[in-house]
Amino acid sequence: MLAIVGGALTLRAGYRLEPVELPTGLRGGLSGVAFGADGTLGVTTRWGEVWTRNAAGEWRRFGSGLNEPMGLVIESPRSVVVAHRPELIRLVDTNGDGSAERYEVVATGWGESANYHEFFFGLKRDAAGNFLGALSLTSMADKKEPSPGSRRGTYDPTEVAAPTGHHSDLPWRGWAVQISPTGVVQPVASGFRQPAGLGLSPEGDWFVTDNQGDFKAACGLLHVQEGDFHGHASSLKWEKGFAVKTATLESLWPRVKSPAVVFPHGVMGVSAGEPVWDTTAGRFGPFTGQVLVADFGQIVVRASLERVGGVWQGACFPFLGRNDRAPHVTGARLLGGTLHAAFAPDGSLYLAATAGWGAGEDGLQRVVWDGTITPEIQEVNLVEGGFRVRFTQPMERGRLAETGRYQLSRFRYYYQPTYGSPRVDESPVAVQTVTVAPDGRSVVLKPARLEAGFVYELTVPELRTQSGEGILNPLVYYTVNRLVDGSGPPAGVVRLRRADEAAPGSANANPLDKVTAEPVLRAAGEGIYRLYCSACHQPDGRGIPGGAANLREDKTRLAKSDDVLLATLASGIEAKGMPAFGGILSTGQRRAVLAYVRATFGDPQPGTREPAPE
Amino acid sequence: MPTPTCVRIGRLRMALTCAAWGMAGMVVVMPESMRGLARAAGVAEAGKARADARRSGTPGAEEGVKSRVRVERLYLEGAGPSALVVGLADGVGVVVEPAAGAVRWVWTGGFPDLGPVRPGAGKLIDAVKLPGRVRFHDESEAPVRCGDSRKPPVVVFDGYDLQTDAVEVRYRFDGKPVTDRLRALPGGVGLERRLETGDDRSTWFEIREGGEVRALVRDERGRLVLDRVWGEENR
Repeated sequence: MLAIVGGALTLRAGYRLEPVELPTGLRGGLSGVAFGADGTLGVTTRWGEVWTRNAAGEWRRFGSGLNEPMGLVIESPRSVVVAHRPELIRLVDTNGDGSAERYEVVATGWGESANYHEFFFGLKRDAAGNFLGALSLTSMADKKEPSPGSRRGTYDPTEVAAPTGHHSDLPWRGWAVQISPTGVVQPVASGFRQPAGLGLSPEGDWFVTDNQGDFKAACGLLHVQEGDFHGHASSLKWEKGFAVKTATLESLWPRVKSPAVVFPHGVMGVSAGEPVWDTTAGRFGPFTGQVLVADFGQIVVRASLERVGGVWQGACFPFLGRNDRAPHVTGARLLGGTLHAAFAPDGSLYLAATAGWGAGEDGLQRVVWDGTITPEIQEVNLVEGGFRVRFTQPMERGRLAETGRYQLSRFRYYYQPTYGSPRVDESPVAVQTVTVAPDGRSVVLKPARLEAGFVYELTVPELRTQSGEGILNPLVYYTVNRLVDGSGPPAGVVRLRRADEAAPGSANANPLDKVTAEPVLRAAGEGIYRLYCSACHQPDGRGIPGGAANLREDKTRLAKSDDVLLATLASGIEAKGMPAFGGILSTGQRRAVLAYVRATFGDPQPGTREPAPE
Repeated sequence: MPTPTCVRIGRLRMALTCAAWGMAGMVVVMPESMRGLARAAGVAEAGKARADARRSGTPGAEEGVKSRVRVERLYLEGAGPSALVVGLADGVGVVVEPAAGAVRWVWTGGFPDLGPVRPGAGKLIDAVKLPGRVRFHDESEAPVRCGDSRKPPVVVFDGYDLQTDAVEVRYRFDGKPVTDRLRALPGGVGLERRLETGDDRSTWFEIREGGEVRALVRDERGRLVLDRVWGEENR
């Protein structure tokens, strides 16, 4: 919107994205960002470096030579603690020249090999001075068994419950760890796959984001407590007394702790990173207390949390990235590859991005709120029998009260060892009543069915503010782990596949598997593309620079035969960061999305072709 | 973009001045403007040199910056997934396996290419390959032992300190603090390696290839001597 500020006509939109200039010599690959208490900014890079920027804006290379660090805590301008692959390590500038001379190992003791997927993610420090980090699993994409000279720790390749694409073959991989100030490592919770984001709420609750993959239906924000099992079976082999030989999906499922907030794949990101709490007391907009989550797939997700029945759960909304071209974001485009975030002392949000794993871009950006309160769904809470939906502005009451203006549906996922999960038991849910608050800022929706163990999707594209504006991001997902009375299934929003249900990806797993009519496939494919593909390949098919393929303009992509493209959809391309959809989409669904892609971005006459030269 | 005329003239003046200086060996008093140009050019050249040096990976090559050894934590087969790959002066390099407190390789010939192990080279990580000439290689389980040559010590890696011409790697051997100081001998003719064991004055041993056991001697400062010298003629 245009506004007169200081006598000048100014474009105000809500949020402004600005690039942060990086010093010559900083080679990109930003893998951590943090602020010290005195305002010192620090970043780590995947090239092993630590750079700091003082209050005067002067950058220095503080440290180097680390092994792919993934997070830092700035203790002072002369002391930085870093999570890198083998250790938690403290870098100290002993002589005050601006760079570290001393590298002190604070803690180590987990298994490590040269596998590209083995990160030590971090880093947060709690009020007691304990450091919090998490260890990712080993990828089986590198099919060689690590030689004794390339690994550290007891090697145990035993599969747990089922074969998977990622393993915990070395001690404590797949665990979240707490490290005392004296360096004692305590593995706290298991079942993680790629726990790329560590977060600490203002109240001291520990949260981790984990990524879609084997045993992981989608990314999500997970509440971590001692003894938790968060789903991936492989890491359980390191649990004292765990019976590996008798473990089954059925025996493990009741132990699974559901994410507090599920980020449905694609539309709410593809690879979640660091969650940060808005503690700016209103300097970053109307979302104080909520969580912003950086995502590698060119999106920042917003989440609101609440405790229901003693369990954390809540809602997620798109915040930046999906529609940041207009109208509520000005300035630069959000970079793909954003995995880390930190609020600065001035209330702006810093986002650190890295190119890598076949996608992403390098850079540091800053998000500033320009004071405009844009029309958004501010918050969703669970109430007795329904949801309270609160808006950032008073809404036009006529539409607000109409039940037909609210599109509600629900779904859940399989707990399965294959990559991801389709949405299952998906169905629309009628909104029976809408009760509008006197101030027009909120409604209570009572759906026909409200059941714990489901993700509820709400879209409200037809609502208007009192000034006639539409909601900028009219989509929200609420993860119902518990009802208000505390009832809910043991594993939240994941269930076991019944014996009479076809395995996802197999023949006849979906009604589309029997469909051959192209128009029907194309129409169905549009919805599948929007849900699963557009996060990376974008709604216009142009992909992400340095990442997901440009299906529209790179003609070589769709020149390949249907067989080749369908196989790619099923198996993914791990080197390029493309998931394997074989466990998520049925054969018919994959044919449908291919039909849509060809009709929309490529040759309008789909069919078998000669393979294009590689 | 065409070079502005003023800059072209400035550069010509500077070139002539430098040529004259070089030919005559005289002290040339330059006008203030030319001194400023020379300063600016010098600063720019120094900055470029530092950037080039950093990109080259050559240890100690950053002009105008305090010279230091270089340590990178890298995967090197036989030295673990996060070995210390150390670049010392005069092209001397050392690979330390921190979990064993062991020097695994000593080589001369520059710092390795980090491409295979750092981001940008694809997703899978390859081992670092050492350039130049290997001067020493050891694969024994626990080559340095304290008190009892038959008993491998429990080694804890505590970190390292960077100095102008040396790196000090810190350990605990069976709970005893040890500092392992690594420095290139002048001219790159060898590696000076001295272990500082504090108050501990017990006999320490080196287990060499083939199982040979050698009691380590101490230098004038009481440090254990594990130098490797290959001599000038072998450089």
